[in-house]
Amino acid sequence: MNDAVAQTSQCANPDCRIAETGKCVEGYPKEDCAHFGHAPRTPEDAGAQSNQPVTVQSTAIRLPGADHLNVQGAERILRAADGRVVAIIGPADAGKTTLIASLYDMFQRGPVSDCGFSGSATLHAFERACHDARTTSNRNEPFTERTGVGGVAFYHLGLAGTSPRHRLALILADRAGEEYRSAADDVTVSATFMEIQRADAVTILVDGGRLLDRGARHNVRSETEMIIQALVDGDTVLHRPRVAVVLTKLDAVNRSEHHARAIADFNAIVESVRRLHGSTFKAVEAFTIAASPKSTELPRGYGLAQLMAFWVGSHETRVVEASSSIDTPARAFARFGDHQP
Amino acid sequence: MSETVGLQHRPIMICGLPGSGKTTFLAALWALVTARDELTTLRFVSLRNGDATHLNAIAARWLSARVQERTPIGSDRLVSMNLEDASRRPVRLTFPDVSGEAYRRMWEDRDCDPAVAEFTASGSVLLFIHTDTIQAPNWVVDFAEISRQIGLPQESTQEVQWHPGLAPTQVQLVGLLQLLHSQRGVMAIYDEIMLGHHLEHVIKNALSYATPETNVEIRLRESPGQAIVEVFNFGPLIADTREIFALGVSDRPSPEHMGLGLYAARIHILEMGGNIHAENREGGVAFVITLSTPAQGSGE
Repeated sequence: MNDAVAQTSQCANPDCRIAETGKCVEGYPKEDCAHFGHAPRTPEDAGAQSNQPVTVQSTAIRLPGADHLNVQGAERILRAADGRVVAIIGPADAGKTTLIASLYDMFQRGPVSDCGFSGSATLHAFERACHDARTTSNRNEPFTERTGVGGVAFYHLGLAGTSPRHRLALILADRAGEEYRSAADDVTVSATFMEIQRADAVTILVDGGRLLDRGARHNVRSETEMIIQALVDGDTVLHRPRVAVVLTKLDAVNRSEHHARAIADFNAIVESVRRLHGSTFKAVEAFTIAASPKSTELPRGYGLAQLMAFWVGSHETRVVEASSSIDTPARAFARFGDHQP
Repeated sequence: MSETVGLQHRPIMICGLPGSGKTTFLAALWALVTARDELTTLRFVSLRNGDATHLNAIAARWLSARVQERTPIGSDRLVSMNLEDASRRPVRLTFPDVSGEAYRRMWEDRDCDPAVAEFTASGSVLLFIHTDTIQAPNWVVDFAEISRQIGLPQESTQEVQWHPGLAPTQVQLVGLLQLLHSQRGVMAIYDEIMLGHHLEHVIKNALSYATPETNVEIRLRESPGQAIVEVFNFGPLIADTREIFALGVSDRPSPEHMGLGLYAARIHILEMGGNIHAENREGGVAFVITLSTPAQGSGE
């Protein structure tokens, strides 16, 4: 876009989105608006022009953010409601953030595994994670930004059964794969993994894409086993969480001529976890998922409903109630109720 | 003055994203009730005790089938209608005519116009959604498949960075409703001086037992018929959470700690129709004060 074109759509009013919507926020025709066609004004601009210090006065009330939660934020939610903490671990690019984003996106269309959506304290974080798989990103292929190194971040999903009394806070922990990998080099690192120590369910991702790679497949098994060993040796799983071992990118695995070999490799990893650490965990279950398939051969979020049911565990979110004459909207977001956890 | 006897004042929040039809609704409502042709449940009474300039202007625009002008940002206009119900009891409806940008800023920029905040305690919300502007969630893979099926070439275009305004309409509205809910005030029956005194005592108590470098958390929430104040501190648990409210019980007896504070707090809060108790929770202790809320429409 050249400067002349940019000038024709910009507006000095920071609230005006005429460049996006084509409409003046104040409702004026373009030619009558004093702000249209001028560069956006900032407080710094105003100060530079007047040579006077700028004092920005705002009477607006600051609202709670909607980005990731830190440890304290997650704890606050868990203290106020029945909750499940899920630690999702695996090497870089295994699909941790994609899994989280796709699970959230499934609620755009309706309940998942008999659970409805009842709000979230991290809507911006979810939306950001989903963005590059949506058409609004202008991408031709779905993409997920890698999680940066720098500690754990939490996503919050409020789940509801058919009764307002049955609510559950699902806290999903996301941390860079490099950090989990480093625990295998220095087991003391795992002591800093607060999310594992608090996890009701630990979810270990096995990268299906790498299992298809002849050069990488043996490393996949080794890395997975070493990460689990580091968690065990670092005493982070003394509380015996339940474990899901998850094969990701099933769409790529299914399309590959090495499909059978990859599945056999995955089964061997699951058996290895059961054999070596079966007594350390309450349960070890295997799942296969395609969180964000690159084609329509598998539905988006394939396998996530079963995985979420495992996370939720025995929690009773569904009760039988007297029938209501009011039709329940199909979209979970449309049935949004009390978001308070 | 006879009109104000038994007056019910009903503040109603009208909210929606920009261009969702909030002003058009107000214009149509005013035109309908003032025309007095239709038998409405609430009927127009008078123009007293208010300024109808704005309502008349937007109603005139609506009656002449012209599109309403966008509500100016920062106008923070309140409009009221003096009506009466079937029993001729006066009802005054008040609405804020706030620009949709104020609501958009709540979702995107996480700040709230004071005019909106004032109405969040009203408990009545009219949410407007313009059906022509609903932005549904659409996924790249589905779009690529449709393009392939109809033979539409996929063009490389400039990727768009994420912005909260790109969220599907349903997500923005859920986010907005969550915020309105969280900002909503809670009505309770209490003696202001006594509750203030005892709450201060409970908070000081929590601070004195809190683990160093941790925060004491104070939370207000509402459940049917109750307003609940919780004061939580990380720190040692209490051996007997009932006994601490007994007269003369203190775990650090001294002239300053005679075991009167929590005993008196419980007596006074019970007199207000509420209750106070302590709970050991993960990592610390919560003092929970429960107060009764007034029945709806009681005017308390």
